[in-house]
Amino acid sequence: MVVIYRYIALCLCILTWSGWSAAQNTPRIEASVESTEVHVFKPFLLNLYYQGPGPVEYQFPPNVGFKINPNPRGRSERTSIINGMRSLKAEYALVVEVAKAGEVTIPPIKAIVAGQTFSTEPITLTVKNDDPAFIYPIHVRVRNMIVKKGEWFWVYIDSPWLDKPLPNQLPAITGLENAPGLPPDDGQSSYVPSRSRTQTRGYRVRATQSGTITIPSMTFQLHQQSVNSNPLELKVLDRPSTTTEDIKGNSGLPFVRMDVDTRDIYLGEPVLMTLQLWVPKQSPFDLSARNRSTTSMSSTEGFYASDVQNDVFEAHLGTQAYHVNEQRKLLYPTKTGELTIDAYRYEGDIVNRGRRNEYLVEYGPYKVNVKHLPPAPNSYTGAIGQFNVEVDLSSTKLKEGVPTELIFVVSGQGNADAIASPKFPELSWAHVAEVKREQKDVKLFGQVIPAIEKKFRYTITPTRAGSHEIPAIQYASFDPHQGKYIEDTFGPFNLTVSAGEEDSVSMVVEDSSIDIFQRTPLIGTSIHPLMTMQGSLHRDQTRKLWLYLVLILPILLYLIAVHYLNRHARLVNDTSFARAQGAYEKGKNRLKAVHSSSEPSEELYRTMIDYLGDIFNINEQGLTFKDVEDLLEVKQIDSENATTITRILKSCERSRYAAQKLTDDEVGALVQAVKNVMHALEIRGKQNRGGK
Amino acid sequence: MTIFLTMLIGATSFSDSFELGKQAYENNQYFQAIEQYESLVYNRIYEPEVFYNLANAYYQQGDYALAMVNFERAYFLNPRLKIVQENIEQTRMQTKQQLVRPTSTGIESEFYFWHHKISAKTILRIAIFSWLLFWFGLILLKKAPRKGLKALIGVSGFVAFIFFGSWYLKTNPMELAVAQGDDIPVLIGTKETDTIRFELYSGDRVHIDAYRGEQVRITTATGNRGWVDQKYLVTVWPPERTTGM
Repeated sequence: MVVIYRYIALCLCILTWSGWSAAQNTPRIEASVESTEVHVFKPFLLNLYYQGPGPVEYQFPPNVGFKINPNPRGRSERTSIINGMRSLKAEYALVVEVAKAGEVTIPPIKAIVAGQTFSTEPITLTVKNDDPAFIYPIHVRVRNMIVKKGEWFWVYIDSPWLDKPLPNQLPAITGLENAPGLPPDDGQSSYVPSRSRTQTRGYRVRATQSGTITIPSMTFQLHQQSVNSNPLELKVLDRPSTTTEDIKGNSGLPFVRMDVDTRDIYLGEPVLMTLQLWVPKQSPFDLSARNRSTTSMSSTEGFYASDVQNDVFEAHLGTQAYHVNEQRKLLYPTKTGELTIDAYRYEGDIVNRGRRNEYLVEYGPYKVNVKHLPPAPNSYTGAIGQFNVEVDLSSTKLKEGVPTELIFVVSGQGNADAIASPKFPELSWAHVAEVKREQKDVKLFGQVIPAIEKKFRYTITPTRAGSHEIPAIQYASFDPHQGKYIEDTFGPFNLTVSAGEEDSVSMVVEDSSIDIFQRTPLIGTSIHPLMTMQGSLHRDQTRKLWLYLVLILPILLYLIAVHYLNRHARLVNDTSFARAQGAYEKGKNRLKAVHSSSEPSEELYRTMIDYLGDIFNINEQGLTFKDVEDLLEVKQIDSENATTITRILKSCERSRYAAQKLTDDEVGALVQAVKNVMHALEIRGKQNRGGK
Repeated sequence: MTIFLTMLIGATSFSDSFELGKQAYENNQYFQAIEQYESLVYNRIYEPEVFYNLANAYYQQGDYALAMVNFERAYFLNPRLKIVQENIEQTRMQTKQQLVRPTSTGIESEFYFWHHKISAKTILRIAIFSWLLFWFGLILLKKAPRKGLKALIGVSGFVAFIFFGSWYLKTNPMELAVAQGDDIPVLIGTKETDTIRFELYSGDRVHIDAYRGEQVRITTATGNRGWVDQKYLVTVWPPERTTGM
């Protein structure tokens, strides 16, 4: 019976396993997005999941109004064999862009497995058009929004996935002239390596009139939708061009080019320096052997240099194609007068018909005239450039003891590092914490020179209830193009402060920023206050000395203790050792008593005999003179000491039986002799005990 | 007596400098505060309070690199001080890349992962206590062997070994350094002409892996690695090297 039950259980297990395996191999395809709310032209990820037998072929819906990039950004594929059946589990992250606002449905994505088709569910997206960075998918930009009349400059168009290639020339624009002599095919096209899917094409143009020129919005076809580029307004100055010569090809050899956007500036106003190295793609010379090729950067003494994004692109001059490596720097003058930007040099070896020749080419130098700023108004705090200033007060209805923030935002192009905080008025009704600064770079459409946004945050903690006012705040910046200061006034701001709770009122102590921090820690970007010192301050080195002592002392104590304990144990257990240890001291003490004894010779004799008994661990009772002689011989006592001992004992013995007692001098001499012998034997004994 | 008096006078003048620094800070005279606290550091007063206050003064001056260095020194001396950790976070938020501290590697991450929240002082105290207990146990064992004494000696010896190891790692930590300056090029190799791999900005903390001449190989918390000139970095410990290495 038990056997039958086991058989049934086994069958059930096999059936369950087979069913599970079969279920595992039923094809399943799913598509999902993180959020169904997306933005026009802002890429997002579509996750595609497939589980089932392989191989599988995917079919994506036609790109109408959206684009699915079939090359996944991320993928995970795992093949397993269950019950003899090959099963595939795959996950893909696909980049999708949508080209129009409103409701957009991504139709099912199909997976074809062994002739059978499996589909995902369609995904309906709500597409918004409120992200300014993606309103214009085609970006038109220039390096500098301010150009000079007659000077050649580049207009760049950045575009993703256009249905048709970008035009070879810009359309006719009033006030702009396309570069003459450049046939349409010679228009420059460049590729940004880090953004391989974005194509950039440059158009060489120059302004023919001063004032304002607008590059209008242009229409292109993207994902079968009409999309526009951003309009771009350029300011054209009627100043002489700084560029002395135009680009010329140079017989298939590398060459350099250098440019500055202005030669007449104010102190603190930046100069945009552009350095280009043009290397021909094909050359009659062997340029690959340029083992010593270098470019030396122009020396910019007198300027503070800041890097702007570099470019690498291909360009054509006539029929010659070049790799162009372009570096740009913003140079901020640090002193007035005529400053020199040194030449940009290229040095290398060129091999021509097997001969190596040194090759040097340079461009520049440039001289730049730096002028003093005109006398500044009181509200000027160092901003030079084109700036927009805004003030944001988080609330006008405040509570006593509860901080609020006033944020001053300065944004635009200019000397970001030198811009100081605006002068904030004194407030008798509130505590104003020290201003906190934030700065970030802002990428603006159409501009290569980075813009900045600098925020000055003032934390205001009202200390008195009532109606109060933040007086008007003035802020001035110097516009070098206009050559004058631009002054803006913000406020006054009227605020109502309601009475706070007792606890919060007690949080604020006037004129003590430390107290504020202590009681309301970490307001905004503040840090904790100082610490007070507990105890006195000591040099660090003392600690090490103490440490060494602590480390060594227990080892010394241990060694002493071991020595003491060993000795103690031997004294207890080893009679011979114990007797020998105490013999010398005992003998010396007894010798002191010899003079006062009634029978000094007897006492001396007994002292000597007892001492010998102790050191040789023998019973001294009944020890005769002859026994001593034999003992000394057995113990190999040196003859000098042995003779002395026998003489001492003989003298004592003679005296014991003589009628006349020993004189004091004789006793003293004998005592001294015994002392000497005991000392000699003690040294010998110690040597023997040490050697054991 | 003379040594005692010298130490006493020294301690008083150090305490005066500390108080002067504090007063200067509270009067918003941060430069003067920095002078006072730096003089203490110059005299080898390595207390977390000194480094913390010095860091605060640098922070208020807007020098986030030296603020970070000195906050890290205070943290190194006493990792349990919460306000130090919070000020480090606050300083990190002021840096451009907002990089976190690079994590320790090797034996420290494998075996001593537990000791980060314990100060070197506490670890040393435990190590010394175990050390004394170990030797005292040995003496007792010699005098009168008792049951369990060998186990006590074994445990105390092991604890002393582990904690001395921990203390050694604490006092000879992986070389943490802070970048001083912006747009510091970190190169793919040690030659000036090598390609720039990435850039460091003021206040970024890096781990120094290797030295080669004037160049050091550094690793950031994100795992980026490259060579950079030593002059752009300030090491956290020892504090004698305040301005570059």
